[in-house]
Amino acid sequence: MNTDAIYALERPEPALWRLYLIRSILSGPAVFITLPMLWFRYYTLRYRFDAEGIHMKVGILFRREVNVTYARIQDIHLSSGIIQRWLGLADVQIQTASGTAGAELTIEGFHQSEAIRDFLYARMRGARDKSPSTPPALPHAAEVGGDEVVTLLLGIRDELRETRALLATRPETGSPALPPPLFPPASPAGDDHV
Amino acid sequence: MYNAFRAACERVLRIPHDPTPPPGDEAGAQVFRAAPAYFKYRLVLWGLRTAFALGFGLLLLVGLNLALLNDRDVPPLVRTSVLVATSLPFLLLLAHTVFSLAILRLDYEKRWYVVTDRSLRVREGVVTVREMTVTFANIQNVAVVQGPIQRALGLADLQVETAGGGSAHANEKQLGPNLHVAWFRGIANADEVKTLIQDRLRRLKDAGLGDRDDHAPPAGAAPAFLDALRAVHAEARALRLAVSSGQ
Repeated sequence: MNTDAIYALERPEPALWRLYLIRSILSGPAVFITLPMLWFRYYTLRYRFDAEGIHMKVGILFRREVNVTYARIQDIHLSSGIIQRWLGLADVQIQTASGTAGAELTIEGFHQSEAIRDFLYARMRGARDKSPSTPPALPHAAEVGGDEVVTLLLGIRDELRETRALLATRPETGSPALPPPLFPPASPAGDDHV
Repeated sequence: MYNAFRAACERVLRIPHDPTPPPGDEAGAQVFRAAPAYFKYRLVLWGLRTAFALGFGLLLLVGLNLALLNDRDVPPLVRTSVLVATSLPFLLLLAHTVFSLAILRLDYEKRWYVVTDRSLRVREGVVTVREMTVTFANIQNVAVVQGPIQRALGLADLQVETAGGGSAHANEKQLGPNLHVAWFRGIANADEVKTLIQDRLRRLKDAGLGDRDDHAPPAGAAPAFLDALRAVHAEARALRLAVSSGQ
């Protein structure tokens, strides 16, 4: 199942309505309350998968919209009761690091629940980096450039040494070979500019 | 007999196939299973529960019917019907007990704890099948929990927690356990699994929330690098001395 097929998912399948029907019948006398509630839920439930995250909209009087970015997904649950498995459904429950014990977003009503799980897994935090067994080395100055850093430092030392040798051999004053200092020393600390 | 029951359950309950490691991580996957002692442990708990329930039921049944038998005024028809009516729930309880024992066995067999290089996957359950996938990057802490009976049997539960959790005041109503915890129930090698998970966590720099600690030695550790720095420093100082003495 490819990415486009997941992006195309929007409405839950009619099997979800059958599941809701069975559930509300099993709820006994409460059926008169749960059946319309679940029917509206089924009727208004919309999912949208895009490049950044999952968006779920549900509700007719009290609307609720949940947006979860893939990178914030902490763990993915796939859970299914007997009736759900008979209907070929499963809940994909998605959690972020929020303070609730329950799932932030539940994707229900799709036969492709395992494909959705794998799709989300490939995008969640910690699964996207494709080289887990060789973590990048910590920035270690002597290792970053390796020998190059040492070579460069030695080069600077040699430059300094030659400059000093030149200074030692130059005529004492009034030499035309040396330009005037860029920053004329105003104080003894002015030596640092040279 | 049990095998037939298992086959029937797999068919009727539509128990999904064995879990596969998350895609892309099949190479380093290790599968852990509940230890045989875990079945014994559940059996002990089941035995205690069953003894209590059946004992109570039997007491009620015998007590009620003895009271009726001793009462001469009750017509035999009523007596028989009461006997049947009270035995029926008891028989149901008995059947449920046997069924729950078989489910217990199946539940023990249908447990998988998969650890890959990058993630964990825990599958459990027979009637309600639950599967949790979490990457190491999201794991906050790992705990080993052991009760007295479990200690006697050499078992432990490994608890892997992610951020969040707390009371179930979700906006969506949620019945059931805290979804922020992955349980490796009834494993005999909890310490080994814990070490494995901790090793893999250590290799991940950004596991969990919060700032990471760099335990790397400071940059100057390489001797060649230090020597070169010292040489440059000495040269720079000599240059300054030469300049200041020249003026």
